[in-house]
Amino acid sequence: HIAEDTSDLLQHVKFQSSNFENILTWDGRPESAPDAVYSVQYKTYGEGEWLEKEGCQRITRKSCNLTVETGNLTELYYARVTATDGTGRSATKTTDRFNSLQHTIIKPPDVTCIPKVRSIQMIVHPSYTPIRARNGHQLTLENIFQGLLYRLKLRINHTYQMDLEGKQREFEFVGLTPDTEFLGTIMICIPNLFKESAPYVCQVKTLPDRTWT
Amino acid sequence: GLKTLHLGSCVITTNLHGIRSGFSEIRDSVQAKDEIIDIRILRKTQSLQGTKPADRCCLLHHILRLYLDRVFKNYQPPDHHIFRKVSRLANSLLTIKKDLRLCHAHMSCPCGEEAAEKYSQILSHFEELPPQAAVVKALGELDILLQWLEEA
Amino acid sequence: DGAAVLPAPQNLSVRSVNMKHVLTWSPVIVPEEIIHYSVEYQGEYESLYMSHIWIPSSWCSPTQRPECDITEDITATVSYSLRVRATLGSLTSAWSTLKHRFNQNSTILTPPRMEITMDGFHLLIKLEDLGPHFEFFVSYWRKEPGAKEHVKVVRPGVLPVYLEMVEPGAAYCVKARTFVKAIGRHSAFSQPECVKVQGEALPL
Repeated sequence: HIAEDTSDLLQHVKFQSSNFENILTWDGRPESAPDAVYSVQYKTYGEGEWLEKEGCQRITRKSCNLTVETGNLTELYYARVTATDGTGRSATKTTDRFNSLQHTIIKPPDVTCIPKVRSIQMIVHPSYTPIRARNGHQLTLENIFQGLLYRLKLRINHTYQMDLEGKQREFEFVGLTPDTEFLGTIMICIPNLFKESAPYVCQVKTLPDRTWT
Repeated sequence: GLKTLHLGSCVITTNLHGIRSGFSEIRDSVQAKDEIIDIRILRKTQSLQGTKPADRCCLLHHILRLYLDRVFKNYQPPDHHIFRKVSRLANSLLTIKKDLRLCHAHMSCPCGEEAAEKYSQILSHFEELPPQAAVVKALGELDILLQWLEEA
Repeated sequence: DGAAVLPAPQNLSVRSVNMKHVLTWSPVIVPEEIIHYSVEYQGEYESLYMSHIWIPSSWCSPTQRPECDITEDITATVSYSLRVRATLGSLTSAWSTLKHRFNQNSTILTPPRMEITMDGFHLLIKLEDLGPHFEFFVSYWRKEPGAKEHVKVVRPGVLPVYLEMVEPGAAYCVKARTFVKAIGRHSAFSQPECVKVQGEALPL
């Protein structure tokens, strides 16, 4: 009996996680199986039982939100997808071991850049995650990562830069020239886990100095 | 900077950042070889955090000895690249174990009942597996051990 | 039995500066022949627990030059054994082993090279990038009696980095040193560099 090759039904089953939103995604070649349906299961590493993900049984789309089911930061998980086509052919593929604390990607922060005459203030807004504390409060990245800090750069006409860094959320670059264009970048960094967000970028111009006019 | 581990009255510093960096380079390929996903060797019930502070040093000392004596020694790396990365991990954990031995020499690494009980549970999880599968699983679970150290 | 014997490389030593480690040895000379060398290493773990195991170096197994950059092989702060042998076709020399084991905590840390400049009333510093191991501690002060010394951790980058706003007519000095977390050691401070700010000193 020669095992039928069904690899075309299902490929690249993996978690895509950012700020703890954990989405299971996969590919399947539509031409070969236009009528394929997919069913998702998940389990905690070290336990025996696969659990069916409600809402992702016999679906046609190629993604499934497992944020709630894989929301325990200290747990490790697996998920698997079973694809079945109209002729009854099926294939099952499992993810790598997944832990959101290690695998989640950090999104750029949300920042308000406020230009003044000789300074630029930057206010970083909290990054909320889907993770909730026992009391139901939504946790921010700061709550989750003790070592989280913000790294800010202000580039001055491509010749030099000013650096600021810290855990607080309000920063101010001072001693700037009025009525001048600056490029600011702000990143979230979690050094002990080698995590660094893409930068939030703000192009901003200091106000003209009208004091002596 | 360096990470300070508070293990009861034994306090040591270690370059946990460097060890994590080394492991993250091989984590996925090592874990992919672990096909027994119904069993976990380092379980929450035996974590350092769940152990009373006075016994943490001894428990960690035993776990490191398991890794150095029976995991790294028997692991068969698929290529030189992985071999070098595993060597880095083994030598880094060796430096932690040497620091713990200093604590032991200064009587600040007592072995109480809880440490002995939890280590024997870990050992039984390890020994209930076929030898090579146990080695691969334990190596793949280094991220669990490193997370325990991160929280120590 | 008269079989040609290739001499083993001699005079092995390690030159380590700013966490860059190079193993060197005297070349084996066979007229009109190209000799290849192979380098292997053993960390303290391997020598204690699996002493028969040697690991081929990342870059020099084989190599033609009588030296080997072992920086990527020395990845933990333990002592390492290193050995080299020569090969010529099917001929292979005996291994030559480094007499004293090498530990990266013995690396020579040099004061960092720095460039101090001004842009208007902004004092700037540019530091050489020595790689991921290095943090830079920069001290700067106004050159006058009793002036307070400020310290800043600076990340080297492509562009110079702003240190402080300065006042016209005043002089400021800067010095820097490196810190390597993996071995917990500082370099010495660089010689202080001082700059005078253009313009008239502000009235008191």
